[in-house]
Amino acid sequence: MEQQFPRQIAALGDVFAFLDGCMAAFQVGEADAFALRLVVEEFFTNVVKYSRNGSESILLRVSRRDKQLVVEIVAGSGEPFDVTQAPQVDTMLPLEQRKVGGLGIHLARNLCDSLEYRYENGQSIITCTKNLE
Amino acid sequence: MFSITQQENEVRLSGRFDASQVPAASEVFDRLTKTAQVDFHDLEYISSAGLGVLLKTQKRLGASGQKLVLTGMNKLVRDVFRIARFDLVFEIMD
Repeated sequence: MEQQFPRQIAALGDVFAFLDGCMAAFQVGEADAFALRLVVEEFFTNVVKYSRNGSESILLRVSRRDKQLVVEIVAGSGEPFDVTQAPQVDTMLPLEQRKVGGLGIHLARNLCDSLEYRYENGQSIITCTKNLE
Repeated sequence: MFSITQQENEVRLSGRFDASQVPAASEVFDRLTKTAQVDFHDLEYISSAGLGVLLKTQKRLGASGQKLVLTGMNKLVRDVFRIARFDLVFEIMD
């Protein structure tokens, strides 16, 4: 299943509606569905915030392969940004030193069973695979 | 859908707290000046954007010895706090 979305935070409502449909169609359990929604939001908003020179829309593609769900976030962008190489976040810092920057990718990395990035023909493609319970 | 309500020193969250809800949530959290309880009983989902609003508020309140106390999280939301290790910077109660 796939759908294009405008490159805007305001598109998240439609993104979640699309994901709700995917989770129902692929019979994904509650915990896995929660994780995948979070992963998609984090990468979607990352693309919106940091790839402003890219094409107008972001493509989401969701498929099921046996006991795995595969989500792809495809965005045309001026420059590649490999999310798998983003710096680790120090989550043990005290309150005064904690920052939000990088936390989204940290959450997404922990919720995907595998995460891949590739840059092809001017497009960034983030692929998250989740082993379903 | 997301909703946020405030009554004195209690804030109640409901629905999905995603990046598109940050402006509405910030409007409420920015008004807090004293220790407040944040009720998560009806909150289904939170992302890093929501965590960011909470963190910003906690830091601001902490400067004057106040804080947020978070209550009633479901397991999935609590897992997000655990992964982010926000359980180290917030008091989280059942």
